[in-house]
Amino acid sequence: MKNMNLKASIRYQARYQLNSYAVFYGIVAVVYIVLSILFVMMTRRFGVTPGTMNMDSATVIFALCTGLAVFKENFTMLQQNGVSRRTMFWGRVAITVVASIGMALADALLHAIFKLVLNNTGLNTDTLFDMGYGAGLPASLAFYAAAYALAAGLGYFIAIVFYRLPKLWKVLVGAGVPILLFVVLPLVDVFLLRGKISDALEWTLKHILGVTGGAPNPIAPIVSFACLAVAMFALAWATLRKAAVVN
Amino acid sequence: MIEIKNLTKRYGRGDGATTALDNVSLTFEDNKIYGLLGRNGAGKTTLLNVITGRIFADGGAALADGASTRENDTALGSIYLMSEKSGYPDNMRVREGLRWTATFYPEYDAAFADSLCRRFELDTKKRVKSLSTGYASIFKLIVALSSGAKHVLLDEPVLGLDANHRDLFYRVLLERYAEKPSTVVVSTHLVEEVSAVIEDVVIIKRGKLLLEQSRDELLASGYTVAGFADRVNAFAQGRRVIGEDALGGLKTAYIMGARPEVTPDGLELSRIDLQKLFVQLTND
Repeated sequence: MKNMNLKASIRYQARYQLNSYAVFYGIVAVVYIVLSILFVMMTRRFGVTPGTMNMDSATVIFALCTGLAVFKENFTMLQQNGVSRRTMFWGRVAITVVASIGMALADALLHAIFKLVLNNTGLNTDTLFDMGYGAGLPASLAFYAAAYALAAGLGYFIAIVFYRLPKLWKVLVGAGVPILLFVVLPLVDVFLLRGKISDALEWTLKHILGVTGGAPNPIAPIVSFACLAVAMFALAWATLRKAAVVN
Repeated sequence: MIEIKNLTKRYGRGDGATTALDNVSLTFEDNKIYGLLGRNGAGKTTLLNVITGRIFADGGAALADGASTRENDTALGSIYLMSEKSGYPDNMRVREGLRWTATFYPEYDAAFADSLCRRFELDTKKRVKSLSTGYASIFKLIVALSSGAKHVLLDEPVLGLDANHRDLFYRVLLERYAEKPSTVVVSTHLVEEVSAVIEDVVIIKRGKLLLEQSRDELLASGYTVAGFADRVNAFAQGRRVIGEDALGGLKTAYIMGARPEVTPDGLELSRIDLQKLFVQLTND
């Protein structure tokens, strides 16, 4: 792998990403401000007890979208300019690692600012991690960075799979997988397997999230998410290494 | 130098499979302009795509300066392929596309690219998607010729270009080649046009290498004989005739072999042109 090509690959793949992060965090900040004002008004006018406000899941969805959106355009451009699939892939991994840590830091910063501003309103601005584990800032950063890397890896893998599939298969997989996961499996689970699938899912999720009993273990989700992110990128590479440029 | 060793590429599976390249071996030497010729579906584009690793061969290898081009940045970086479909994003502006090419190709010649943009009157503020077919080809040509790559592969480079721009392209190609020689492979259907600029000819027919020869040798290897049909037929007896055209009582035969020093009575002997030779060689 030529270092120059790796740097160029990273630069190219990251070119629009900074803009999209700026737009995303701009929107998140606006949403925070609007919701804060609404919550404060509701509390003062109607005496309604405010609930919980955090934007963790929005960042996860955004990370997934960055993974989904970037593949095709980057692939054809980099192939056009003599960059191998391997170099492109490692460029994407490097961007994902840096971006995930960056998003975790940006989230933490935004969260800290709004926590400070909304200190006396009674509104619970704790993140999901704070509520679930209460394990401090370093663990929270690691948790969210791993979660964002997993989401971005999943998006990237899905994008490559769809790029490689023939048109008919794109439709079949696009419609079939959600139907299988959200209709067929629950029905099979309820009527044929008497909840064995949901039991297995619950068991798996509990172990991934480190909530198997007693005090929640914050290390478990961090390690699980990081491992799953690595697995997603491994699957993405296995799919990408044989991808042909489709004209 | 690009070496192609026993390349085989099939599309599809089972009975419906098509063999696009069938055990093709050839060499594109340094600092030569090649014409890669073949009829539609002969396998020219497939060959160029395999060389640049955009698609994978089922067998064989493509080497650039001795190194496999498969997932090899150094080898791939020595090649620039201008193909029918540009890899540049549709919403990218032309000037951005030129700038990014400079990022990937260290020998990219920005001054030369600027001069070509002016000569071809390409508006660099436009987005790639808004370029007409002709100007899209011009954009791709400018990038390819300015890339500074050691091996430049041009797949149908004059697609959509008007006669003036085609003429300008051939002049620019020769100017650039004289100034900074490189290996240039021009894959095209416009055989007659490209005939004046190429040094060597590679002809592919149904995925197989039909011919790899210098243009001058090739053109000297045959001749045409024209005249009344009976005289042409008599002359052609015992000679290797690769094709014939007849109109009324007149006939033209395309004959391979050394041209006779003395022209027989009532017949006209002339140099065979590349297009006629190509047509006769690639006809079924």
